[in-house]
Amino acid sequence: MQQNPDQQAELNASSVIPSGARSDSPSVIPSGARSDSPSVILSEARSAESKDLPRSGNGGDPLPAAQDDINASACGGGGKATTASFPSTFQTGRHYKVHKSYIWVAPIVAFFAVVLVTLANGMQGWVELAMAIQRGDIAVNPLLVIGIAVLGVVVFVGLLVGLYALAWKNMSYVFDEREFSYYSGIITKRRVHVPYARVQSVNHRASIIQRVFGVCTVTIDSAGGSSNKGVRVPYLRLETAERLRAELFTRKAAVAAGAENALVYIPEADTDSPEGMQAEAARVAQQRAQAPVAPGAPVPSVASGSTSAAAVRSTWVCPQCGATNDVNFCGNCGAPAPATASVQANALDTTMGVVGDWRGVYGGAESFGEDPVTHEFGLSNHELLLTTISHDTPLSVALIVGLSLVVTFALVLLVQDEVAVALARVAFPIVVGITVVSWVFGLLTVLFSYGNFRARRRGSRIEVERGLLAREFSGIDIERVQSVEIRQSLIRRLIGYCEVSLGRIDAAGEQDKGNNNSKANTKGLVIHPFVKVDRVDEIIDGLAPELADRPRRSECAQLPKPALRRALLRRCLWFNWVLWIGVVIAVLWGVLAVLGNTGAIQFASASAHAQYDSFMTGSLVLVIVACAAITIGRGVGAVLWARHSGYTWNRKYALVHNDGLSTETSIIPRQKIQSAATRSNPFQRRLSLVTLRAITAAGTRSTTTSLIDVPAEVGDAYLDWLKPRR
Amino acid sequence: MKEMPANQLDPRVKAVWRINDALWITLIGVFAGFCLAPIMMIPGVGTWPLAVFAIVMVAVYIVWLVVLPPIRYARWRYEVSEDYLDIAKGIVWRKRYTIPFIRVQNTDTRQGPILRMFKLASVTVSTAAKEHEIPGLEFETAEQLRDRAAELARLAREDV
Repeated sequence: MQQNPDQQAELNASSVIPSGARSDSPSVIPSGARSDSPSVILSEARSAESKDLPRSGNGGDPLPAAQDDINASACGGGGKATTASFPSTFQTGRHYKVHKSYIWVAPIVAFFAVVLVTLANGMQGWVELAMAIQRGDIAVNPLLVIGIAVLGVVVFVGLLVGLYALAWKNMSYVFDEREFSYYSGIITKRRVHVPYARVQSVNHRASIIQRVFGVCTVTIDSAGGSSNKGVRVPYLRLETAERLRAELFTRKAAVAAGAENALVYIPEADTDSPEGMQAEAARVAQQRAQAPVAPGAPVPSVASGSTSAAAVRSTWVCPQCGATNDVNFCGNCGAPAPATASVQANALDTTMGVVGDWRGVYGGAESFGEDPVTHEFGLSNHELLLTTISHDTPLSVALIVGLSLVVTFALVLLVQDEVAVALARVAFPIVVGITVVSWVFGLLTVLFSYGNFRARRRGSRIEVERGLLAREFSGIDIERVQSVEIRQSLIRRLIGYCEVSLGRIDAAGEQDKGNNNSKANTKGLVIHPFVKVDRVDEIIDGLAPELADRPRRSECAQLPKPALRRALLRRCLWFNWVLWIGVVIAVLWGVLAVLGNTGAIQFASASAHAQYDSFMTGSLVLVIVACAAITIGRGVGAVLWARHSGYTWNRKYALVHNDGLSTETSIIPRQKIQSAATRSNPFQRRLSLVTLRAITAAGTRSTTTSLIDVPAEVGDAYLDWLKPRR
Repeated sequence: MKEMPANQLDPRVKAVWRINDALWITLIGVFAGFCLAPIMMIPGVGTWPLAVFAIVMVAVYIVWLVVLPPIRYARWRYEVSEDYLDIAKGIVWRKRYTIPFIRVQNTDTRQGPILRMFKLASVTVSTAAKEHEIPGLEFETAEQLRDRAAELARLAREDV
């Protein structure tokens, strides 16, 4: 990579875009810096990005003078030696393709989705058709039907494959000098550019089918703001995905150091280039010649991260896969993690190892010349089991279904109608069965999603891998951690455990809309799904020693006395929607009862009248009991909240703890609070209280952490605390 | 309670609010009037729904055009200090914001037709999380504020 000094200067300039310059409207920032949003999507083709010409388009062209300015400041501020070399495994400017399995696997997945939807939507039509055939209304030759069906499927799949093949042809990614570009689209050409400096995190996930083929989908998140979008590159070999991630961060580091020309391309390590493929084939041949490995022999584990860079750069070939010479489909097949003393393991981890050996579909994350792992942990058997059992989702499903069942059948019994009772006797076991099944299904989902959980610290990043069948890898740079959240659901509170997660900026992926994963993302990056409360500090200190001087909960100041009364009123009366619904029902029932007794409603017999009365009374009692129970529960929550909630801050962090039946502690670095606010309503002002709010950029748009009813002077001090210090 | 921020909006903003709200209320009123029409068609209803509607409309106009603007104007205050923006606003729910300029990602001035009529502009200060709008500043002031915020924002750390 030879560059003349002028280009170098321009590249340097591009590496120090102040975040203020990330503007969508070119007119605003007078600095003349590029006004790209984190990822720019253009719909028309751009001529092959010429390095020699100054960039055009995209609005906000750099003015030469302003550019020199920035350049100068970069040289002063950067101060890093440019002699360090950055090993690169992707050639700059080359168009890389995604894996060919995209053409075969993606259409199959799409086909089944289409079939399922069609079946579900047209169920009635199908049933009618089948019945018509059975009745003989429509005479058919079964062979013909099957033939047509098979032909239809073949044609449909063929069309899909053709479509995906076209899509594949038009799909590529390029590492340019300053940005990563992803090209896609058959008719409408789409290009997404992500400047390296804006790369926040690179994650990948693999569905079950993708894992069979050893591929995964990579998501690149770029820096925050409401306009950020993620880039999704589908169907990359696992090995390529790891390399891509390493490459992005290498290039980001190079850009940050202003040393793009220090990138050293290593063709042998680029297994997607002809040279790399040759090198890999040679390596495979050599390996097979030297040591024919017996099937089932222990495989070198590659997830340790302590393996030397040289060893890491060679691709491991699974004994079974190597024999078939199908290198493409063999990511790597090491055991998921070495059984070092520091890493806790559970029964499912072992299964993972077996599964990994079996098809070589997935091993631990291989690292390419990355920093060594300094801290790592998994889940022990009982932690995984308890995570599953105490997880909210299956429990709440079971609870809601169960409760509604009880209420319904109580009402049926109240009516004391023979038919209803008989019906209930049949329906009860069925519905209970469905509930149990859905609960177990929920449990398994959680179990699988947290199976083989691993959290580790590697260099400046915190990485989490999880999932037994579908696999997910996500990482976050320690600098990008927006907050640390410690959450306890009711059950976890009772047994003294909690979940620890890191708030991060999530890109609202353009293709991700309506994806069911988006909800899980709002919780941030879960670094431990189930940990004893007194071990939280250990976990955080292990993964993020930088947060050592964070305040602790014991340092919290408590809420003032009036907070309790206000909380009780707020939670049990004003915002107790169950109570209000109960009141409405009670009034309605009262009216109906009056109507029944005054003769406005005619009954066929005295017994019918009696039945009506008993139903009305019984259901009213039920409603009152339910309202009372929920109100008492909310009351207890309010008392707990007022007693134990608190706030504190020190020089670098704020801590807000909201107690209650379920609790949430947020530790927010001061640097990550985008704006601080206080809010007060007339009642609060009478008692001179305010609500504290800290607004961060975590989540897809923003996250507001608030604490109600702190003294007004504390609110003022808090606002002052966020003011820049001199 | 802390001192209120020093600056007030341009007094002309009250007129802007009035025009803006009048347009909206009229629009909603017309829509509600259409909804009312079928009720009026029912024979024997009389004119009382119309009377109620008229009274409500007049009350809404009075509240939004006469009562609220001066209060809102009095409560809306801001201050641009060396390195942070201080905003206080709200009548019932009173809010107070501190926005350090080093967190500001971009600053815009916007000018709709009504604002332009009064030679005013609004300044929007956006952080990575939220947008804060200062409505109705004199054009010069708005420009200065925007430039100031942009200048200070340049000193920001690069990443979020």
